[in-house]
Amino acid sequence: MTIFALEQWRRMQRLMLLCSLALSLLWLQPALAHGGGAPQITDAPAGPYHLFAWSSPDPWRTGGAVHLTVAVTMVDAAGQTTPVSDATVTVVLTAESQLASPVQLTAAPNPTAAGFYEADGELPATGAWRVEVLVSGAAGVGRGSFTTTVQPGSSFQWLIWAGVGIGVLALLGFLAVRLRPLHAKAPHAQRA
Amino acid sequence: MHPMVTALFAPWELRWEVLIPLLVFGTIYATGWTRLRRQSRRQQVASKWRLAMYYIGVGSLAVALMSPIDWLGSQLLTMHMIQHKILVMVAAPLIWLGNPYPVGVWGLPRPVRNAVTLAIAGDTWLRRGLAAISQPAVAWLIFTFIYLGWHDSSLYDLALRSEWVHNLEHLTFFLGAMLFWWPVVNGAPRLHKSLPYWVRILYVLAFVPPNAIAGFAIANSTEVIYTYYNSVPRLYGMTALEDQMIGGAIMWVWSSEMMIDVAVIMLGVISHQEKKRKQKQQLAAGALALPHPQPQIKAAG
Repeated sequence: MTIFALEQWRRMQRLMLLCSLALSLLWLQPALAHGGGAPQITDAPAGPYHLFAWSSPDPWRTGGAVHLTVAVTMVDAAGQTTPVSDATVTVVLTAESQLASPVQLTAAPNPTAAGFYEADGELPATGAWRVEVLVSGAAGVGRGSFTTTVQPGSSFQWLIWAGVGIGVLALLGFLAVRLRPLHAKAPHAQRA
Repeated sequence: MHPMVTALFAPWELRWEVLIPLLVFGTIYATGWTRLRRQSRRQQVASKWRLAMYYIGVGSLAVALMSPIDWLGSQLLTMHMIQHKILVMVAAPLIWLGNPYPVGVWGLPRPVRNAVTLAIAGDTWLRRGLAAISQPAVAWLIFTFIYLGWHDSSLYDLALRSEWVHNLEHLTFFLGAMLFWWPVVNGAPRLHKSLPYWVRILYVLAFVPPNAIAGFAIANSTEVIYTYYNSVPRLYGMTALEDQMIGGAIMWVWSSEMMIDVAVIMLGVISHQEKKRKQKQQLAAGALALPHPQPQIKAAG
């Protein structure tokens, strides 16, 4: 093989590697929620279904995103639990104080987990909120609910400030290390 | 097809907080490796097998944190244990075997490279701090404390309820494991005298009893310890207690077996070194035993 052909083969290999990396990225789905959350509804019968729901973050706060994961299952005649992946899940959030208008969210099916649905939203007021989960599918309709207390949002953006703090510390550390040899050289220069 | 198999082949999650650091560290390593290889293709610092180890390690981090294993971990203790084992027993030692410090440093822009080298090689707070926590006994204690501490039922449940606690758990597991494997792999930067192999064997084997006790206790508990798993639908054909038994057994067997494997590898290295030493001795003895050519003096006729 000539040097030219070898170089071309190497380029081709790099291109193939990049293409396969790009293709593998297509396999990734935007993260809806990677599991977890505070359990709010556990195995509650809802019409023909059994409902589960988890909320995050814990507790919910005003001014920030709130997330609800809903699992819809059915129990067959053999007692086996199966996920229901073709349902429409709607979440209605109502402030018990009636000071804020109700918020309605449609939960999207989780592409990584059959039978799981994810809803994101924001809540405008603190206090007790009633969360109603409505499920509609081929087997019928069902509903489940729970009540949660929404806390006031934190005005201090600690995550941003922590990031800024780490950045400043890194910069100071970098400058300190960069300037160290200059300070070390100074006495020698004086002696000379 | 079993629902677990279907779930394992589901799409991966695009988690930017995981993907970006992996891409950054992967690119830095690739740049450093290429630069070092341009200087010499025969050098040991950036060899092909080290490159493979590093990327398998980084890839296993992606598997643990972005594949369906991550999501399944919130539904099954078994999967959560597998995820932790990948972080602690697979990713960390493989990344060390990739020789990340010397190769990575060469992948940095010159001013950053100089700053990092000075920070590690000079008399800095960073070096002093790293030297303090990387003393083998300290590293062992820190990792064991982190590893066992997170298996406390309330902390484990809290990690499942709160996303940032969960991320903190995984981060501390991984960093603790990097600390633990540092003296075993003897990776650079070497801030302490290298441990003799027999001490490394004792070091890894010392982890077996606490791990085995914790895993055994979880596997043999008659109650669900991590009560969060009572709140999830049982979609994968096992009850919460059966799941806990398997999860505990994975913790007990996988980690213990890994430590024993490492000890056996170290014994192999000792035996190989001993064989080489004996060969050298025999060669030296053979050289001494050879008859020295005597100068022949011919009598003058």
